[in-house]
Amino acid sequence: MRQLIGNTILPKVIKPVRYEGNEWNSVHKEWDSTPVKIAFAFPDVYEVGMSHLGLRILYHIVNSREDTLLERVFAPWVDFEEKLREIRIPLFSLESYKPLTEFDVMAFTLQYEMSFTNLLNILNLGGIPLLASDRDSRWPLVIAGGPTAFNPEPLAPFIDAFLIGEGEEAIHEIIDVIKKWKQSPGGYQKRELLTDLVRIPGVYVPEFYDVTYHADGTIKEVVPNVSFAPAHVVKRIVRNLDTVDFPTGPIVPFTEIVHDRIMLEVLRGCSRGCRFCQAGVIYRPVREKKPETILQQASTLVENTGYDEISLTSLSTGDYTCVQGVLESLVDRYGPVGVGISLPSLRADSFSVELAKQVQRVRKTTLTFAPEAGTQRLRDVINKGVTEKNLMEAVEGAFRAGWTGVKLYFMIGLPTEDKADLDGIADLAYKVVDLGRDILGSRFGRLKVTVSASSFVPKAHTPFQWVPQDSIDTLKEKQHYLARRLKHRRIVFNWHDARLSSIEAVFARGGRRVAAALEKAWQLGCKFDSWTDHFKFDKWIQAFAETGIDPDFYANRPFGKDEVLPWDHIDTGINKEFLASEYEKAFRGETTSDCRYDKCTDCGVCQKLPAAVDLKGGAVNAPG
Amino acid sequence: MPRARIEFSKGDRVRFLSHLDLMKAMARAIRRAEIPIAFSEGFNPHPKMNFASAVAVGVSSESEYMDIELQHEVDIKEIVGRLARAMPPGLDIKGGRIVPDSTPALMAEVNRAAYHVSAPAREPVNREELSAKIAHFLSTPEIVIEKRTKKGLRPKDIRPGITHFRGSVSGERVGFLLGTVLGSDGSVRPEEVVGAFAKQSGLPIDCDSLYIRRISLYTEKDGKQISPMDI
Repeated sequence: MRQLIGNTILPKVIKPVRYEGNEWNSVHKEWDSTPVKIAFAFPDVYEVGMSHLGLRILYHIVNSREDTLLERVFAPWVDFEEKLREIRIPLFSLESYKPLTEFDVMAFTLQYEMSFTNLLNILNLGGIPLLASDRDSRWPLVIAGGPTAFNPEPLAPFIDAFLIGEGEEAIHEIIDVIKKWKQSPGGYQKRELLTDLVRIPGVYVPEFYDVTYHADGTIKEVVPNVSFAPAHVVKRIVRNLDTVDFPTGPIVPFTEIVHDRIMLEVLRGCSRGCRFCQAGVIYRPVREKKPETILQQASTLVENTGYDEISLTSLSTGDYTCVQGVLESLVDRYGPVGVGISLPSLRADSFSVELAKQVQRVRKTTLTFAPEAGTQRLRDVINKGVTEKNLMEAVEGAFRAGWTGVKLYFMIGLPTEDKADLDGIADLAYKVVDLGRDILGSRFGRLKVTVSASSFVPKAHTPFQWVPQDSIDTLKEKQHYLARRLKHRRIVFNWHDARLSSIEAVFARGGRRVAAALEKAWQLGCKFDSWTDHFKFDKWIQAFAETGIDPDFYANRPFGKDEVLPWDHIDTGINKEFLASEYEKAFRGETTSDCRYDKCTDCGVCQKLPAAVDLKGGAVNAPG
Repeated sequence: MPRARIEFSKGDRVRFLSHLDLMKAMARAIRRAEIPIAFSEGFNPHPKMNFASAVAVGVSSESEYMDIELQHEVDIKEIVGRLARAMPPGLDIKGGRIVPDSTPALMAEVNRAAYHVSAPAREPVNREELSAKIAHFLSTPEIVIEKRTKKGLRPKDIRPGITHFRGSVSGERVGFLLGTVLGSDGSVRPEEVVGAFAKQSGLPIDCDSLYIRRISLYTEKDGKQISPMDI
């Protein structure tokens, strides 16, 4: 098989190393003697999928078990797919080049809605029926997890079971159940297996739930149709990041991937409470690693990979209570041997710039900040605890330290946004340019201010889950307005395709019914939707029309406060009342502080889940 | 500074690595092996390693060479042993030696490459006919191909860059052994030679699916062939 692919397909496709599968630290287990076999798919190309820490974590955890093997699958690029279909070879795993149908489990990680068509395409390329109801126990069990599984409904007809929340511990329980049934002498029915799986906390089996609707298309209720399925599926969470298994021997790809460096997670969660942010809700509460754990893992990672860069990853690494000490130790230890340290996400304040200065070793080019909104009023609405003063101090610090490029991330289409807020974005950009002129002097010619505006997409489980998205036309108008205002030699303005953001909103807030449109769009040839060259908006519109789905109903309609939301039976641990109160406060322009630096906000997560805010530093660095 | 010269192979499984991929794989293996490699000065220090020649995507190689500059002297057996254990599957260390400081850079020294090329034949090829056509091919004073460059297609005479060229038939495939000149003055690629030959001879050779293996790299000097390991 490997030889066939190597001789017939690989010489004719771009980036053939994507399909090599034999990288340093990749795990190759004996096929026949390993009882449980899992194919783990990231529904995008290799370079994107391999940059995802969750895949690295599960690869390590599952392959540490003697009784189970886990092999990788990525969406093959279109040229490779064409060849596969041409010579009628089903999609295979990278490690052993085995067809997907030979695995017991086909697992998907869901990182963004616009990868859903790739998921269907992977199933189809593997020769696996798309619909769960068309698969009995002879087919691989199809499971899915990851942040986008927190609204599982658009994928409900295709997936046998979802894992809601963090997978490190739950995956073992799932494998144990699969192994038990697989080894049962009389064979088994898929329903028996699912019946056992649904007893595992955090496991959601869509076929055990019935959805009924009102005449207007809103949901009447979602109720279990069996006695043993919980009314609410509560997310899984790791209590202690120091003791949980972390991969210290990760795969080192041959080809350059998006994040081509050591990814060392220093903390999980973020409680700053930005009201549009889904990650901030689903990864609560904040849990930090001890500095000793981080230093120990860094050392093993460098030894095992040979990488020359360590990225300290998290949703907001500047918030790590021990960040300064850890950075100093790492820079002292690894600077002399040519290993650099990087910080992927920085807040817009001078403290963060100090951190960036500490680790900067290559030529200073660009620092990125995310004020998200153009005025203080709107930043209060979204609870982005960054002031213009914070930002200007940060930018000044950056210019003084030698940076000549600044990237500013904004979101347009946020609730209550008006013209003044758009003007605020432009004004901030020009203030940064003026500051650059004052400070950079003769180097002003090198100044580059990149303003990037994405479009707000309301996400499930956030305080803005009820908020309608701006129409495509409105978003386009706003983009054009900003483009006109930001015409300047030193400013580069980027924006996202509003049509793509609109489809994203449909699946971010869609229920089970939108699944039909998804399947139709895939049939019409949609895949790699998040790749500009491959996004086919007209096909999506056709798919909605042919399946009778009104995309505006999901993207542009305000959801009622008493409405049953498609994801209400999925429980993040955060009370819906808290989200509702955050929603109300947003429209009053009131902010909510971070529970790390102020009193408990009563979001409910620490009361409901077996986990608590876990900070390792005594003092708090940067009160927001 | 002491310099270690390493001989390694790029196996079949990793033949789709680009030269950049290969360089990164080596740099990482060197770090895993904890070899005290020297770094360049400056803002963004990079490990001091030099390769004899880039080997193209899709091409495997029996012998490639790289020089590693060391911060201090280390026993070559130690380097070879540690490096061998740190290599990703498909890249194998074949040997090493410490070379004198004065040794010229590999890239400046190596000027010949030999290849084995295997190609599927669309129809059976006759052995004698193949030999005769090769003899004719080699007797052509000028073999001009269209070479794709940044400025569009440019004519290029590859005949001076071919040092030897032999063919054989094995079942449904045609095999070639060929030698080319390497270096700044008119390097010739094996697929160019086989492509030009197929075109001139009219033989039914499928040039879209060539299987190319580099057999050796060496220096031709005063009629003698010298391996980089013997310089």
